[in-house]
Amino acid sequence: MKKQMIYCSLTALMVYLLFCGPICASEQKTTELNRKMAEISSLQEGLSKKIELVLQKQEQLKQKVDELAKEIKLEKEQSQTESYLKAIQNPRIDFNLKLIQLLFGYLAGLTEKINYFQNGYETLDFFQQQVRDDLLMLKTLNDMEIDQLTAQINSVLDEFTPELGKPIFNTNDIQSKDTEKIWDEIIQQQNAKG
Amino acid sequence: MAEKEEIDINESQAAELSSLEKLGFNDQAEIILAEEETVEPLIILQDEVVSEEAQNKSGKLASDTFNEAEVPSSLDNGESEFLPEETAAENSADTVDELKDGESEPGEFEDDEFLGLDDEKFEDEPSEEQDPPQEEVLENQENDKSEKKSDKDKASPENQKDRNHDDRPPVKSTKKSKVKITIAKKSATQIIAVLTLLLMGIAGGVFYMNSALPGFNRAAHPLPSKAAEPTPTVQTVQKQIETPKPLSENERYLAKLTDAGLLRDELLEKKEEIYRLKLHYQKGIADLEDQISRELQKESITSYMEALKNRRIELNLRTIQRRRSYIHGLEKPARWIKQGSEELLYLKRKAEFDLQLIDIAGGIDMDRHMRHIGAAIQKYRPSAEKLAADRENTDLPPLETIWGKIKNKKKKTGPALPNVTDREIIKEICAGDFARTAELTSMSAAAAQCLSKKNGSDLFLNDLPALSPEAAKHLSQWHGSWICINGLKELSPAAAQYLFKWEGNWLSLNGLTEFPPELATYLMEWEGKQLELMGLRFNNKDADLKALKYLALWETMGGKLFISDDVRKEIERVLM
Repeated sequence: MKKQMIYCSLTALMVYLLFCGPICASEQKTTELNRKMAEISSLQEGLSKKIELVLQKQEQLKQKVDELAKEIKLEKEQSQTESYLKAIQNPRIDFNLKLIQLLFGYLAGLTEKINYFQNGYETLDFFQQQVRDDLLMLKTLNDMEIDQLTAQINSVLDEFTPELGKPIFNTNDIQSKDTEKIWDEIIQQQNAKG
Repeated sequence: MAEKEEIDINESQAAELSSLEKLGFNDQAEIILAEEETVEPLIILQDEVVSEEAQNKSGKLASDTFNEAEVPSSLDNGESEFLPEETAAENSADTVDELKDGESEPGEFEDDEFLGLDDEKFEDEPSEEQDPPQEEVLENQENDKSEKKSDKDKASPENQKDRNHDDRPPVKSTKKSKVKITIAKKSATQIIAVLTLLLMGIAGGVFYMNSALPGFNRAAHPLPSKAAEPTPTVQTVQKQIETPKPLSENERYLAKLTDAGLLRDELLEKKEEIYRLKLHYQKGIADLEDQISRELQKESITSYMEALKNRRIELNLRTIQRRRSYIHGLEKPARWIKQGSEELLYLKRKAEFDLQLIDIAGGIDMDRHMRHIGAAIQKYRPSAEKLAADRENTDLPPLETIWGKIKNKKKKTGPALPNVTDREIIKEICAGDFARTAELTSMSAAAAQCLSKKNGSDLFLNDLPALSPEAAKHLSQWHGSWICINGLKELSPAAAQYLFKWEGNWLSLNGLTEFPPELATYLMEWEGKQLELMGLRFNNKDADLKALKYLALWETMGGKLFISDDVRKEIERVLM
């Protein structure tokens, strides 16, 4: 009698494990994917804010460049100078060219970072889409391989999450454009408009 | 007896206190005086007590009866204290005689207290060895307490004497009652002294506790501490004022940038001053040149040598020479100021750009910016030394050269090139300062371009004698409603072509005496509302008639023409 009871219990357990095991695993994976979704959304929000901020700064700097260039043009008109060497004798032109050079460097740094963040944002978008698809698969098939996906997501998260706390660029690393080239560009612009 | 003494002392003490309150002493000196005064009544009081005891001797204690015998000596003693020492010494003999003649015997005065009290009367030197009178001891004690002076030297021998005296074995009296009286007298004096001290202590305590008592509180504090007391309060307040909150990093940077901006403004102001000074000298030179020209005409001077013989001309030439050297000398400080103002602007802008990015970019060293700005501020802060005119490189132009220029100037008839003033005004206009626009006597295309950016509804250019097509082209871009060029004597069709493309309402060209049909054709294209041609003259030429027809036509198109009555009549006649 006892033996029969034990057999019945074991059988029931096996049946339970056979049918309910995959369901439990599926639930775990779904939870894992949902957590990744949340992490992706959070990072995307952070990146989005960062991109917005950087774009705002970029716009401000561009405005400054325009103002400085306008001053250079005005000084050029005043002093009737065409050559670069003569132009840089005028302190306003010289200093403004240096400032534009600096701002161009900053703008390059900002643009690079904006592209980088946008790339990250799009990558996260891609994985988010994949997570959604995999969740549907999991719901339908009760199981699916998600390890590779989570690893990839983790890799992206690990790469971009720390970036939110880091400076956008280092001013010491910027590359400076030649002031003579800047001068030529300004002259060309003026001539094109005139 | 004790009660009576207490009452009296209380009353006297209260009187003293009230007198103190009334006086309202403020300094230590006053306190000392007051405290000295407090002692004297006590002596008198004691005497009074003794006198009262003497008066109430009937039906009183034996000691009281003895006091009656002691009153004179006590009184004498008290009086002698207020007499000069010499007088006391002179009187001492009589007193001794009196005492000897009287009921008192020498043995009676061997008692401690009596000896002590009367010693001063008998002899000077021995008196020092004897105990001072009880009142004196009290007085000294009180004085010591109140004055807190370095009377210890004096007091210590006295104390020593006291001690010596205490150590001495008591003099044996033959009369028991006298011993008793002595003891009684001693105890009464001691009681008075103790009570006085007690009362003083209590009174002191009361006043200490009740510091609000007027005058006393202030007087109670010694002068130095009183003087020192308010000082920390003032210092605290000053400290509060002097030590503002420490500035944050950002505020510090902004403050530095503001400093740089202020210095730049100062430099620009100085630049303007230099410019005005140069202008002043230039105007002066022009005046002197005119004077010389008139003098030359008047005196019919043709040669330089002749001119030098004329003292006035010579001095004027020398003044021109000096002023030219001044103008030249001002170039150096003007350049220095320009360099300084530009450098400050550059550093300020650079720092501002970095400050703008400091929250998102790394590697920004604002302290370095601040150091650079600080150095520039130091470097370009105007001083007499830095602004010194360039005198080393200033060679005075020879008088003959100046003379030659003046002579040649008369011959010049060509159109005036933009003078120094115009160049400066144009520079100002292009920098956004349109204050002196009306002073322009010539206008380049670039100047007109700058001027086209001027805000406002009217533009007065009445000193302009001519307008080039290029200038007119740029001027037509100006967004205003009234252009006034009444100094214009002639307008070329090319310039008119652009001028009548202007989108404003009101054009004043009152300097024009002719309005050829070529101009009139362009006028037809103008969408303005009013045209002033008050200087226009009619010459009864075909061309003029044609022009008048155009003007009349323009008026029929909705324009309003301001012309002289003569021309108006001609127009009406043409139209009839």
